[in-house]
Amino acid sequence: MKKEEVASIIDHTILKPEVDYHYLEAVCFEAVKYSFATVAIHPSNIRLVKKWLEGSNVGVTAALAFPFGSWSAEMKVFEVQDAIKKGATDCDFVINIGALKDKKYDVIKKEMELIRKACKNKIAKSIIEVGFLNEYEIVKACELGANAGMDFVKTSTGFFDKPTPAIAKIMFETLKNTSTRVKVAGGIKNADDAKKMIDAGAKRLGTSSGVEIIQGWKE
Amino acid sequence: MSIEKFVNLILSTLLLYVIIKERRCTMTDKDIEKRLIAAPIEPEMTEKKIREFASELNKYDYYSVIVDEYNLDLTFQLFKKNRVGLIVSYPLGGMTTETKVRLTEIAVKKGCSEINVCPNYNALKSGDFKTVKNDLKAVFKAANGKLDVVAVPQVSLMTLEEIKKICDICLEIGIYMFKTNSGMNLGKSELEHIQYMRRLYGDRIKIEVSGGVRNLEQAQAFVKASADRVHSSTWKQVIGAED
Repeated sequence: MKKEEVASIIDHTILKPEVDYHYLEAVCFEAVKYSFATVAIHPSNIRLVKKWLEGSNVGVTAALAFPFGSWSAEMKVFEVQDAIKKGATDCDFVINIGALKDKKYDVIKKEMELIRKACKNKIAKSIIEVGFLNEYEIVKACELGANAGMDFVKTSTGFFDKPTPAIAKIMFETLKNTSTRVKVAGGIKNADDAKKMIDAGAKRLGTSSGVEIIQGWKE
Repeated sequence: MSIEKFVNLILSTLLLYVIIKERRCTMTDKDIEKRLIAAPIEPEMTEKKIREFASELNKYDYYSVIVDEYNLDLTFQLFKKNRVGLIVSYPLGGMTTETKVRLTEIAVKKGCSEINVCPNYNALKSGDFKTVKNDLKAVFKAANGKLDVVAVPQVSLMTLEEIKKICDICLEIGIYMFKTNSGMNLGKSELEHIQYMRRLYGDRIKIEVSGGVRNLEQAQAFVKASADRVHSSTWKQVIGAED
């Protein structure tokens, strides 16, 4: 895989509360320089980063219902609409993990369908937080995501346990005959980590180490 | 000593031991208990887990319980006290003002007693105090005096100057309650943080300590340092109900 291809699947992520605007601007600068897919940020920063990404093809991923996902569908739809209005191109939202574990699949189905609708032509990624799930729940969450027409099912927020390539593989296998793909986020620190996840079937990578990954990538 | 006396002595010693051990297990620090804020908040918070949490917490005379939006109704049903709080942009503070306002409106509508709101930390770190202020002002306005607005200065990630700045902004707006930290993995509160905030503002503010309060001894030290309330995920240890 060429460096450019790898760069084009990276969501360059900065969700730390302790950074300032200069830091965010530098992240945008890197994203434009390397042609990353998007910059992934908190919704309060969408308008700011839009300014710094102007004229580039780099999108804006908003981290929504973050990081717990314990919101009603209505609240999630509100945040999605607000993020899109402000300029988000990708909506990464955390699913209702408690409801998934309670086997209240109708709750997840409903929130995903409403969010899919609210996202319109924007990219929708449902975060399932694999660190809290068993294999059955992971497969179920992927199926629910595919049925609702998610563009991606995403492993994790990055705030809790990190996903393994084996888990990415399970998700890839579950989704392989659908139009939904796998995004892996959490613990991808270098080219080696990235390669393992890509080999396991990841089609998008969420990481704050995008620059290190590209610099260390061997074609 | 006769055999009878010896047996009596052994038995009474055993009894005393059992009594002491039992008391140690069931006796809590009532003062800390009254100051306790507990929060069944985590991604995998299932209904079963909240029910278990409630049946445990309901045994004690706690102060309040804080939850996320999806679980509000269930929380009002299950917990014995009506003091229920909602988290607003917790723990990272990165939600838009519109989202924070909407959550605050929901809290008011559902009858919450408080919200825990995280300010826009990126703006604070950038010296963009206007954004920080407008954000919190909108939340305070939405609260409409119907509930306590508790702001989180996130002391573990801030300089003393930044802590003062956020508190100043809050006080200008009318927010005088602070929760030191979000907890999670964002760092710990120190006794010095409480002392610093108290030195600056005296009795004008209420301080809830959160982040790194793991046991009774620590809780007592924070209260001695003038914390008004204590928030912990290991709340049983914190009130002394468990070792």
